[in-house]
Formats: sequence, C-alpha cells, structure tokens
Amino acid sequence: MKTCAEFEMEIMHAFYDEGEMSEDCKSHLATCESCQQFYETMEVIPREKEEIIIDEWVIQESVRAARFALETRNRRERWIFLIGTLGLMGIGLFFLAAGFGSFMRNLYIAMYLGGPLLLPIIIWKRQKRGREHA
Amino acid sequence: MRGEGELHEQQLIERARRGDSIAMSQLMRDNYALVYGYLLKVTRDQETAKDVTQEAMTRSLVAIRLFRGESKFSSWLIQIAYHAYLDEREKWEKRTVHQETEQIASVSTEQEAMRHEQVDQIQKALLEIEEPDRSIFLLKHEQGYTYRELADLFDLKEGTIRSKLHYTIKKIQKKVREPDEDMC
Repeated sequence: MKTCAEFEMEIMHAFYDEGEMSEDCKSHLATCESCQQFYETMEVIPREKEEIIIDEWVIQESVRAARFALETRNRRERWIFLIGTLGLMGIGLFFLAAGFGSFMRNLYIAMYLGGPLLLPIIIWKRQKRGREHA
Repeated sequence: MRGEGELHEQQLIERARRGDSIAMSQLMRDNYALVYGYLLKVTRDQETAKDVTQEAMTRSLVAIRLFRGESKFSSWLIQIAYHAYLDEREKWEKRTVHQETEQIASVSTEQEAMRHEQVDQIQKALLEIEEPDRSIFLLKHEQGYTYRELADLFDLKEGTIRSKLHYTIKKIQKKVREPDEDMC
C-alpha cells in the first residue's frame, strides 16, 4: 500500500505532465483530504507569467559592459602574448650568444615534436571548463 | 531536425561570439523576459531584479565563447542568472523592499479578497524557502522546465529535484492552510 507522500509524488508528476495518474491514485485522491489539499495547493499557486516589458537600457548596458570586459581581456591577452614571446625570444638569443646553440636547437625540436602531444589535454580542459559554465 | 527559431538563435550566438553588438542585443532581448521574469520572482524587487538581470547578461556575453550548445541557451542563461543572484543576494538583502506585487485595495468581492490573501500567503511562503529549492520550484511551476532540465541546470539527480519540489509544495501547503501559525 502506498503512503500519502508517494501518492502526492504521483499527483505532482501528473500535474506537471511528467507522468500519468494511476487508478489507485485517482481513487485515493477522491477520498484523502490531505492529498486533495496538496493538489489544491498546486492549483492555487499562480502559473501565469507576468507581462514583462523589455527594458532596452538594461540590454544596452549589458552589451556595453560585456564589450568593455571583452576588449580589456583581449588587450591583456595581447600584452601577455607579446611580452611572453619577446621574453622567450630574448632568452633564446641569450643562450645562443652564450654558446648553447646546439642545446637550443635540440630544445626547439623537442618542443615542436612534444607540443602537439599536449593538445588532447588542452582540449579536454577547455571542454571541462565549458561544461562548468553550461 | 532543428527549428527555425533555434537556427536563428544559433546564428545569433555565432555572431555574438565574434563580437557583433547587434546579435548580442538581439540574443539578450529574446531572453530578457525569461531571465527578468525568473529574477523578479526570486527577488520580489523590480530594481534588484533589473540589476541582477544586467549582471547575468553581461556575464553570459563575456563567457559566450564557452557555451558549447550542450544545453539550451536559455537554460545556460538561467544558470548564470541563478549564480549572479546568489552572488548579489548578500549585497541587496539589507535593502530589500518587500513590494507587494498585487494591490488588494480594489478587490470587489469577498472571493477575490480571499484569493488575493491566498496569493499573498504563497508569496510569503516562497520567500521563506531556501535556494535552490525556490528557484527549482519557480522554474518548474511557472516556466515549465522538465525534471531532466532542472537536474542538469542545478547539477542534481532527477530524484532529488522531485523530492525538493514535493517538499516546497508541502511547505507552501502548510503556510496556506495555517497562515496564522507563525504569528503566535
């Protein structure tokens, strides 16, 4: 025999079109005052959506703030890339001038060959980050 | 097979990712009622709801390149709105003005007055329900989200969503049936 809580769950599923109400449940609902109150409560809670007027100012401000944030981020990323690239180039040239030419050559070969192996990890991390946001 | 509306939305998302302001505005305009409507229900304050809507929309546009289309764009936006609301809650909690959305001054019949009183009790009961239970209930009851969508949105199991909904309705039922209980 099902409890009232179980019948209420069934009533809730039927109310939200997520399931059918069984004959058992229907006959229980006809006699149980507590379950009737549960059903009536769901019915009495307003479901109609309020008429909403779009506030263009909110939208325009959101877009403006987002564009500003994106531009700031892009600018920062460009600077990081530029400084990073120049820094790496400087280090490379320094080692070259200090007589570590063959070491640098081998390092670059290792980087070019080994770098692509990191791609699956980078892709996996990006997807994971996307899932967290989604 | 994708619907025309969905295709249109997909095009807007692609254009917004490339930084097209018109597409960004259109995308936000299309989802404004959903986001603002949801936030208005949870905050019960128009100004706060507008502030959080703006914050949520800004966040979503900044992060739009991370949207992979695994869920509906509107669900993704609601998730961002929910987190923006949680972040902002502490800031505005102290200055919340409990505005009554329904004026009962002009009710003409006793039946209408009773209904307004009931709606008032429901609103009060809803305010007492903790997050995410309140958001889950509002999104289910008013926006028609499915259990599956809600489970994805709040990163919970479908069974947990059902239990939370049941618990919320029971709480409202109690409040509606025994409105004077907490006055004692």
